[in-house]
Amino acid sequence: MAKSEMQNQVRRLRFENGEITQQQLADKVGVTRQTIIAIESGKYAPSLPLAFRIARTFGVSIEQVFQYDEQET
Amino acid sequence: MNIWQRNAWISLLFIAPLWLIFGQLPILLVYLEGPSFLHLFSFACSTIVGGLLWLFLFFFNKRRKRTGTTEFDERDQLILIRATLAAYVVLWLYFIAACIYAWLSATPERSISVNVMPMVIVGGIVVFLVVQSIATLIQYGRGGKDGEK
Repeated sequence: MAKSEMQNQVRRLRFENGEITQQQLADKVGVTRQTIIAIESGKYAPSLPLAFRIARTFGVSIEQVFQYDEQET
Repeated sequence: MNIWQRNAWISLLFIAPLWLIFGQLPILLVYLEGPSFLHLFSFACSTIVGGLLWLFLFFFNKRRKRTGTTEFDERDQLILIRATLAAYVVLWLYFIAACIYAWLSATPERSISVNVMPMVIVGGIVVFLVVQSIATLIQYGRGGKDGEK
């Protein structure tokens, strides 16, 4: 059975882009700060539109923000 | 704690117990005074509105978007949908259990009061509110802690 694992670089990108806060990023992409916290900690996988908005905020491609690993268990 | 967690706590601690107490009031009045249009109509209206109140959660999204503040996003919506789904599953099980219990209780020698039916409805609303609130709080609790920065 395949086990999927989403990883992301949101936290690193925040610090590399002028150390913007979670609240600032949340305001830019139109979500709550709790959602950014959940995304960074890997507890929530965002929808494609939100993932694109986050990637565009940082000026990178979506693959540079989110990585999807599928492992056989 | 965001507005949805606060709503869930309010629902769990105040609204559900209030329903449990005051929802029985029209049933008691009908039992004591006999059926009247006013009692039946007020009971029907309050249970219809109370049972469908959760639908307003989904209109909240659009209302907030117009004001410019983000207090409701896709994750909140997902959490509320899951909580509502869980509440409906438990409500269905509760309804089946109530029907089976009533069915088993009524024999050719014994009967059950017709007042049990509205009581089952009120109980269903309370069960729905409690499960939805608990499911909401559990989901926010798992991923909603306030981190730094």
